[in-house]
Amino acid sequence: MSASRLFSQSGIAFRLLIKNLFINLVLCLLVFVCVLSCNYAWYQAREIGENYRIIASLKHEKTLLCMGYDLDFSGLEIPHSEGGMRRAIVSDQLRVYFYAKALPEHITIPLSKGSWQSEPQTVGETVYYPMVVSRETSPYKMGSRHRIQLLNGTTVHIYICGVLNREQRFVNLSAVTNAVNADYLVGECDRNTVSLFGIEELYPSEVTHGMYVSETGPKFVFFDENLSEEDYMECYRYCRDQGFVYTYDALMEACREQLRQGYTFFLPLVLCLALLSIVGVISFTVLSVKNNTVYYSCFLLCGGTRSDCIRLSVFNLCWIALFGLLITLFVTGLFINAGVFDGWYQVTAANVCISLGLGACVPLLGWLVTVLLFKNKTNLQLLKAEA
Amino acid sequence: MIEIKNLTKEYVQGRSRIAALKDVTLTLGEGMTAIVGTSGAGKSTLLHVLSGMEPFERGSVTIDDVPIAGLSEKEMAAFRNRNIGMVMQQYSLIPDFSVLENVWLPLTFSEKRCPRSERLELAKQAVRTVGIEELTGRPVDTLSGGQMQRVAIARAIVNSPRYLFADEPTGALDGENTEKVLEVFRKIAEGGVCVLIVTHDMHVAGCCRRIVRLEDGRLVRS
Repeated sequence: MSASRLFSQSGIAFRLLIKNLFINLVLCLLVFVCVLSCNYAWYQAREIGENYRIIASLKHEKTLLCMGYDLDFSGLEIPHSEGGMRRAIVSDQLRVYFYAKALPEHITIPLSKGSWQSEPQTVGETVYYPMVVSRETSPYKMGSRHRIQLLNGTTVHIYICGVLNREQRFVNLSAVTNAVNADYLVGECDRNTVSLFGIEELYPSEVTHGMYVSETGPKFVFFDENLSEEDYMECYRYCRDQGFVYTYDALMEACREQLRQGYTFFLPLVLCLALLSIVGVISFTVLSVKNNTVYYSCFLLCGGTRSDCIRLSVFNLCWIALFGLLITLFVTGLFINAGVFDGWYQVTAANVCISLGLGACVPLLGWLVTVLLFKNKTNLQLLKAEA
Repeated sequence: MIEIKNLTKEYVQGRSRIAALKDVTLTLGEGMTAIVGTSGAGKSTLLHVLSGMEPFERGSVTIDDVPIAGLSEKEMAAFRNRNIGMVMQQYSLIPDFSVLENVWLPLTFSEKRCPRSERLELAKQAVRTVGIEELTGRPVDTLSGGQMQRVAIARAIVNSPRYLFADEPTGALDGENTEKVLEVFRKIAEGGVCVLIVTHDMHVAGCCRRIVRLEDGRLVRS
């Protein structure tokens, strides 16, 4: 098979695409819906599974609330809203959290490297404030020094004095006045970003503990396996005084409730959509191939073989799959930019594999349908069907 | 030259076998030949067998010393593409394609490697031969029956085949268009092509150099 012949046949396949424009357009849209819903279903299933894994790992009954709080620099006016949660994002890869002075003194978040420091270091005329990072990622290595530009233009110099224990779990809570929402309830400590944890008193914040209780923003829940009963009760009293009266059980129930909402309503809905779109893709592929049967008889008359017809059918559906994927890419790009997907739809290897896999299924399906169609018909029957 | 010896073709219908062609022996050469007979006499079956679209049970068919029964599907398709042009009663054209695109189609499946410009010239030449050069860019579904049949003939001759098989080519045409199509066939036959026309129209048959009559699958007159 020469390249020019392949090229000519892919050109004919493209013409067939335009010939059955309505059916092929519907098929393109179905491919789009199918790719999108399958990706979302995969994301949901993975998130639910991961969250359950995290919940399961938070087995200690002395898990506490509000051991710290998200950066809420009212004084600096840089709170950043992200999906209803207020965070300070210094850059795409860096978030800053502050370790509240009001933490019970006897509770320390365990570190895998270094130690919590409260004293800044002075090098020349520059004051470097101590920071703990959630994970060591270049350039935020243990002992390194950095100059960080905050969103409002403020410059902070820091040094990395410790690295959080990666096994450590933090749970984010969104609080509206005294009520705890289930939004963004569970998560490892910023898996995708490097987070810096400093000492609040070292920064010019005017935030008070009373303020942050009434603020909307995630709070940390810190789980320390070695917490004594006495410390636990003290922390609990502290949390209660601050307006957080939630116990471990209440927290877990809130987590589970959020997950239940995910798998009792949203996930089945998306799975149904995925299933319907898959059925639609199969039906319209069959319809598209059947509509092309009349052309296959012309090709046979003109010296084409059955293999040529099957190849044309596959080329035709390759075009459809390609357009479907391009529509998906375009629309998801628009949605991501518009913030509609709120970060759930990321270009990950898994997303790409799911999308390309589903895209590849369309021509494969076309190949199968054409082969089955040809299996039961002689050339003459195809000709007569056309007549 | 086409040599047919003791050709028998049977169809299976339920549990019984029906012979569409019975022991047909025939030699066909250049010029126009008409195959006539009543409905179900086996005229179209003979054409389909000769073009390799239908297999046969017994006998032999040799086209230019090539026994077609021994060819694989791919070889037969290539052989058909090189040597046989086919014209059907219902035209078998792709409606949305233009005249030129339809005529071009056999060149797409051709094993001959020639540049696009050369193939384009071949297609235009075929269109000129049938006298529809002014319709080159028109989609075929906007043409009349006679024009469409001439497009089908142009498509059939674009690869300069030695054989042109036409199955009831004038069956759907009026008298004027029938004459035009017959004129095209005559012109092609004068070029040394063996034109085989299946018809039940005795006027069409009368225009042919030779008439072959089939009755109930048997050759009764040649």
